[in-house]
Parts: sequence; structure tokens; C-alpha cells
Amino acid sequence: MEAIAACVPENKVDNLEFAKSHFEEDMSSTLKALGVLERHVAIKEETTSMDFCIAAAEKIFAEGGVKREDIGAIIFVTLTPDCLMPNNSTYAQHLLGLGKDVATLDINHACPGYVFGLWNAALIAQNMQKKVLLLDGDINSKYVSPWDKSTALLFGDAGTATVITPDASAPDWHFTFMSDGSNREAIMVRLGMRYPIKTEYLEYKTWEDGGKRRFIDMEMHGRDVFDYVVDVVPEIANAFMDELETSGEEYKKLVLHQANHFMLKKMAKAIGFDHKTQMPISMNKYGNTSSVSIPLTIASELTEPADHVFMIGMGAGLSSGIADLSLKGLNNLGVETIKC
Amino acid sequence: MLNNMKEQVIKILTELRPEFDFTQEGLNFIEEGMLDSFDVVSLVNELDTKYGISIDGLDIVPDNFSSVDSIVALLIKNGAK
Repeated sequence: MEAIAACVPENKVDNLEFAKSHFEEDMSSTLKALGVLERHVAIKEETTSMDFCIAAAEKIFAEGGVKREDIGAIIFVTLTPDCLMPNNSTYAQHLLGLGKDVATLDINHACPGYVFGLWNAALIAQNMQKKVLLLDGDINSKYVSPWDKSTALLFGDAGTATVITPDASAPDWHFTFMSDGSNREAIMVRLGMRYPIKTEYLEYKTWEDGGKRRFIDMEMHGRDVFDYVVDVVPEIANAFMDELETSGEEYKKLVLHQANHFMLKKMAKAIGFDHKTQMPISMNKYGNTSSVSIPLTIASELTEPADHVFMIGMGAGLSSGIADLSLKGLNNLGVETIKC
Repeated sequence: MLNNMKEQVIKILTELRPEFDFTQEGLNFIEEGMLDSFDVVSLVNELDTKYGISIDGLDIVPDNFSSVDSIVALLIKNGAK
């Protein structure tokens, strides 16, 4: 991993104030436990995940020592593309002024998306012997109801850019994955071809679970997601570490998808990591930014490159991506804000 | 020790949801809607801090939060003293 940069909207939401104004209650103890005190959310209707990713990529080209002509492929991980067709990665080629010979590929994945993106980027970089630009962005505020307590307080908007460079002398990266589509309703955004758009889908209503949202908004069953994260995912992670003959204490950092702090602490304990010293947290500032949360945490919190990292992206699908990798030599350009 | 723990649990529950009487016998806090999933998160966080423990994620199931006795049993199982 050669360089990384992140970008978030300038507009910051104070979650305590938000909870008071939207749910008329003091949720300070809950928010403290969830660990989401602030979130960055775009204000302008026309803003998309593309805007954050382009800003982050431009920062890498301007300050990260990466040349545009060295990029062989663009991967764009997002569940909030500008359009259904054409894909984001091809439009990013144009916006970034990259050569017309670059390969472009979108990956539709939510919470574990960055790990799937890294895996693809590493394979493509190795195959092409050229650098891969991995863009990962989501504008969650477009489909999270501000009146649904199960989601409204958690999600933020952000985008990142990562450059993956082929290097035969670098330590090997290892990946493992898990997919269970039978539980897709645990966390879901129904907007898509299976549910052709109807006017009624745009109306807010209160559902059986007490959440007030539109049919097209994100629906999350926290109990099911929690069970998956503290029960199923640790089992896979522990088996992966057994296979690699490693254990929690051997890693410098545990970088997790920033779902909520409470759940992550339980997960860290279940896989033998010390959450206080090994687990960086960015959700206190940015909330859950879906697949972006992992690279955003790296850009925001790993100011010194970590030579051995255990990474887990887990959630919607239900699915997980787990990686054992080195971030040695990473040029971290941090997080910038844009007016949007 | 047990009585003291019960009192502490009731105190934390009452601070969390002052509108309910958690000393009433025979109530199931989850089924009665006295605690929702957000309350359980807050409660576990408070108990972890108060007792210097980390309640196992696998123990965070509704049955373990249905009464003061079940919460005390959960604390003891997870090493609270």
C-alpha cells in the first residue's frame, strides 16, 4: 500500500443535539456506549461519494508522489454510485484525467467492501504490474432516515483513495472471506430493480420495529447484526489466525469496520486483541461510513505506518472480509474536508 | 455482596429508564418494553465500567436482561465481585 488519503464533508453533526431534536430524549449514555459523538454529513443534494473520492485521489496525485500515468486500473467500491450506468470507476477515469488505457471496475459492497477492494487491487496490480487506484466512497445520508433511531445516529458520509503498488519484496497479504446471503435482511437498502420505484416508496411511515423511514431507506436489525459480529465473525477470524499461525498479540493494529464502539470492543476481546492499545477508533469523529470506515480509520488514526495489521470488514450481506497485511512504508496524507 | 449488587443494578437501570419501577417482582424487562436494544448497550457499557469487567458478547442476549436476578447472574458469570 503506497499512499492513502481521505475526504469528508465539512458539515459536522453533533449527535447529542441531533438525538434531542429528532427523538426528544437524552441519549448521552447510549451515544457514549456506541461511540458516535459526531458525524460528517453532506448538505448539498447533488453531492455524491464521487466528490469525496476525487478530492482524496487528487490529494495523492498532488502530494503523494504518485503519477497519473502510472495507474493501470481504478476500482471503485461503493453502494451509492452516481448512476446505475455507467459505473463510477469509468467516470472517475475522466474526472481524474487518467489514460484511456486504464481498466475500470466497480464493486458493490457495503461494510466489508474495502477488504474486497484491497484483495482485487492486489490481484490486479500483480497481474498488470501497474499501480491500482482503489477509491472507496459512500454517501449514506441519502438513504438513512433521520427519524429511524436504529440508523440515524450512526452513519456519516466519506470517501477515500488508496494506491496499491506491485512490490515483489513486500510481505505477502493474506485474505479470507465469508458470505451468507440467507441473512441479507439483517441490514438492507431495498432501492433497486427488485423493487421498481413507486411514489409510495418515497413516503415516510412508521414500521413495525418502531423506525420511521421510507421504503427505500436503510433498514437494520441490530440484534441480528450484533449476533453475527460477536459470534460468527470471531470464529472465522480465529480460524484464519490459526491457519496463519498468528495470534492477536502479534499484530501492531486491529483495524475494524467502524460499526459501533461497544460491539467492536466485544469483538476484539473475542479474537484476543486489546482494544485499548491495538484498536484505532475513528467513529467518534466520523460515525459509521460503511465500507469507507476502514481506510478512513487508517488515514485518520494510523499516523505512523503499522507493519503488521489485522483487518476485518463485516456486515451487510451478511458478509465479511478479513486481511492480514503490512502497511509498512505507507504515505498517509490524512483527512481533508470539503464544502459540499 | 449479592444484595449490594442487586441494589447497584437497580440504581443503574433506574438512571437509564427513570419512568419504570425496576423493583417490581415478576416483570420481564424486555417483554414489557422497559429496555430496548439501545438500553441494553448502555447498560452493558455501564456494568463493564462499574465492575471493571468485559461482559462476553455471546452473553448479550435478551434472556440475560429480563430481570434484576438475571442481570446479577450475568455479572457473576463474567467475574464481577
